[in-house]
Amino acid sequence: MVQNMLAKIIAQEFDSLVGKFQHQTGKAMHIGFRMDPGRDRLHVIHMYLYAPLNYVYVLTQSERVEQATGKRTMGDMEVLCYHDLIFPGAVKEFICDNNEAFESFESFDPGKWRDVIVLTEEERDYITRMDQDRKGIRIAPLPANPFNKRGEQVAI
Amino acid sequence: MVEWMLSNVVCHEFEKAVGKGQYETGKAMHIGFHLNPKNDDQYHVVNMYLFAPGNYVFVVSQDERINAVGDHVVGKMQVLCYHDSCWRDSIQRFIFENQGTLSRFSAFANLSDWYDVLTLTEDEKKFLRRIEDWKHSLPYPTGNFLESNPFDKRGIWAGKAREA
Repeated sequence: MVQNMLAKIIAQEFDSLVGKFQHQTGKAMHIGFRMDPGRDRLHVIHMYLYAPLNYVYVLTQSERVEQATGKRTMGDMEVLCYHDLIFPGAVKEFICDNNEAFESFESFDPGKWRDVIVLTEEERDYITRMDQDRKGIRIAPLPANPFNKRGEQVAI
Repeated sequence: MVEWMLSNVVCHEFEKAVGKGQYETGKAMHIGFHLNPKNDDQYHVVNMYLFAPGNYVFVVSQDERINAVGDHVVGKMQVLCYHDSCWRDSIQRFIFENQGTLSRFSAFANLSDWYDVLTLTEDEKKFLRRIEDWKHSLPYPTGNFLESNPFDKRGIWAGKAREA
């Protein structure tokens, strides 16, 4: 299972470069998966791994750039997993599900296959609010997704 | 193209953790690729070593098996590549050719790691040079390089199972 091997590397890379209990530093890992764009010019799925405490968020957000107009569209953020142990399983499942559509990596830093990033306060807050929303605890309407700005770092 | 992505990560990690020009240090990378065993074998690992004494990178592989009766069987060393740029293609080719049977990684030192950074002995460095020279000797040789291989002492189960 080549998919399993890649997922293991991602999980291990997260453990060694970023780690858990990052609520103060905001350190997280980003992996951009460049997908078959179909009729679009670009399709990237951004995966973010972030562990404020012992649990690890595995989040994804799709980014598309239209062929004709060059218009960039950021999709909704999805929570694939928030767990202390089974987060590598969520990464593996994602890789298996998208196996046929992968083309390459698309990191913010072109020389690397993954990025270590520092989430802003706004982004950290958004993740917490989104998770509360997911659990039906709505304190206030969810604000605009601050991760949308990160997509702009991807070259077209 | 997960296979391509996996080989990309392997190459990137080699450049980051080991790098070229390691003749003096002997620094090399080892990746143990677990394959689904065949012929009633219990385990089958292909140990891949990446070592760049100068600008060229050796990509060599060696089979290691635990057969049906528990014997430790070590195969001959294969030179997949010795080149400054094509070494990446040889890793990609290896992953593509074995994609159906690859199952997981195995490192020598730590079970949870997916690769090791090793220091090759003088014997091992010389062996790689000799096997490469032998490959290019005239008339072009066929079969296996028959000199004793110092890498035989490494291996996942070296010293832990009965020698074949």
